[in-house]
Amino acid sequence: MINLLSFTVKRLLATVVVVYIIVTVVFFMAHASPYNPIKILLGQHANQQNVAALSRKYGLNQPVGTQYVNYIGGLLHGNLGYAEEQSYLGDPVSSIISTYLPVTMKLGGYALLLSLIVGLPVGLVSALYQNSVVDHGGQSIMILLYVIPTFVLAPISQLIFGAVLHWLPVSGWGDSGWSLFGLIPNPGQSLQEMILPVTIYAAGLAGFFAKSFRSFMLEVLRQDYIRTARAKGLKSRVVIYGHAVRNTLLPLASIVGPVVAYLILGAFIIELFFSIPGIAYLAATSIINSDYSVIEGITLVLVLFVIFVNMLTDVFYALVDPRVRL
Amino acid sequence: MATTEDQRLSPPSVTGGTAELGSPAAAAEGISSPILDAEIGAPTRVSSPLRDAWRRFRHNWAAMISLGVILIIVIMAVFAPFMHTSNPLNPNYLYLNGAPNGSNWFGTDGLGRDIYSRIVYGLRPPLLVGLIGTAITVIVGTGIGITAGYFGGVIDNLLSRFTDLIFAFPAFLLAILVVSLYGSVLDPVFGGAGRVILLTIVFAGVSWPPLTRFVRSLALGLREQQFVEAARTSGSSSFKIIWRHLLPNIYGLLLVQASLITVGIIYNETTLSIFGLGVAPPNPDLGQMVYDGASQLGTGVQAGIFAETIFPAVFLAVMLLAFSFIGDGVRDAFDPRMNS
Repeated sequence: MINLLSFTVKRLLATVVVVYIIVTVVFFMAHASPYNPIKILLGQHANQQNVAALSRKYGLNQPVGTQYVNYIGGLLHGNLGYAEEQSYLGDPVSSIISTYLPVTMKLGGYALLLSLIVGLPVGLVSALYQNSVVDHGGQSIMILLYVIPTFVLAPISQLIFGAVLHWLPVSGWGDSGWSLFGLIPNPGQSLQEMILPVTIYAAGLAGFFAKSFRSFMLEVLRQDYIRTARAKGLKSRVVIYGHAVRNTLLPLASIVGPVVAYLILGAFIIELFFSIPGIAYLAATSIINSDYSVIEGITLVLVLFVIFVNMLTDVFYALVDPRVRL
Repeated sequence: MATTEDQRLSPPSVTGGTAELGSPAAAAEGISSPILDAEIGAPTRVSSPLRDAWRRFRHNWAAMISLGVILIIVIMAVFAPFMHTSNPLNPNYLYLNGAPNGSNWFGTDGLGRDIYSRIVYGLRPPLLVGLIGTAITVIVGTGIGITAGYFGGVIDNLLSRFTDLIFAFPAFLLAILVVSLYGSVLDPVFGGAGRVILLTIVFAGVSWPPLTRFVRSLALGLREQQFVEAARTSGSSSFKIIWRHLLPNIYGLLLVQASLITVGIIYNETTLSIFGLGVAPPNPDLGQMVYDGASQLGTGVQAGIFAETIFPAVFLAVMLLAFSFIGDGVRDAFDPRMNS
């Protein structure tokens, strides 16, 4: 237990150092960039006095060192800066991000769930009937889904199912009428608009899970303890679910962790293609409107998310597999 | 498989003979044996790991077809000025979102620009960024990895921590941030190519950490091998050991990684292009074209919109799949055991 604690503390300290360095890099990268937030706020024809007044107000007339300390101090209080874009002029970036993030989380969460529900059974069946027709057929489809890039799969399914067949809406994400804390979509427009993006996001993930789970299962099924279990006369079902599947959970955790960490980033292309008002949409509009404080904020929040989830995965791994701690 | 093993094993002894007979000294003395020369003539092609790999690669039809496809695509992109049918930037307001016909093979987009010509030119950004970015990534990643792995100790520690740091930063986000902050910095210097150069540098700058870790682990294993020890004992410098003994042993694996990195960079370039951070419009870029087409799908059934969605997407898919297949082929070629 002491081992686990020291591992966690070490990992946490390393994370803090990495986060600090990244925050610093982002700050100086933005500072050195050719854009001037005040000029963007006031437009090209701003007079000198207004520029000076606003610079004073936001502390931009101070030396870089002071600005840096202020920035870090603000971050520690959850202040990511203020938006410069006309539609949310002066709004805190953190509150803007927090209105867009849930949509992305929902999209990613449903896709992850669907991909696990589809991918793991396919992988399991493939492994149990290795080299059969079921195995080859299932794996071919899954690998195909995995290798086709999202920016190819998404537009082509939009074209086929949306524009030609009219089965589903081409794009959109009706966020009205969600029940149960906004987690369950209403049957109707919301649900219909959800089907295509969630399925396409899940397709790639399901392919990845099916492919990986098959190889994990095959690896475990080769082990001596499986042969022992079979030899002592256990039912096939007990051997498979009690012994084999259980021992694949560890490697499975090692691939699900990073998938969760990159869940938001993975949804970026899907959101753009389906015009879903999530974090990628916010990023894209901020890029178009040159709202750099929002872009920086999004970058920081997502980097922190990735690093934090990766750290949790490592700690979880150490918790269930004592060898990692050594 | 037995015959190939034989071929691989037999040549050295035979070539030993040729070297003796065919040496300048022997020739000067007039010693020659037509019978022996004829016998030895055929198998003098020494088999090397590289040649073996190429032979195995040639028999992998998926990889060979992919190689052909990539060659065709590269030729199309390089010779775009001779391949296009009309100026990719010229709008034709009389034929907006037009269906494919004799003069517009893939139809026209929302501004009446020829989609085929735009695709031919649009291949350039992903290919340039992908291939040059990969070359830089491989050089940087291998350099750092092999240095860290070979020297170990403090150097390894410093380089590895640095690698971990860059590795922790999601490459794609860093690219978005850098390109949106510095997007047009290089444009005044390099003209329209500034964005492509920036993208190349950015992706090369964030893609190397995984390769570095991989190369480091290989170098850690190789430096304990006896041939490295022998080279060190006989007084070879560290640089020479790395250059002559370590690198040749990892060429195959590097090639495999390179194809994976190319796929990754092209994927990211396309994504950034969809975000509007690729080459500046009106210059064509495949990702931007697909997105333009797809975003108009809701507006109604028009052949040009379908064409603008499908054709660039197909080109992207084919290009990425071909690079993946080449990577698989190279892996199987250099390590046939993986296949079994």
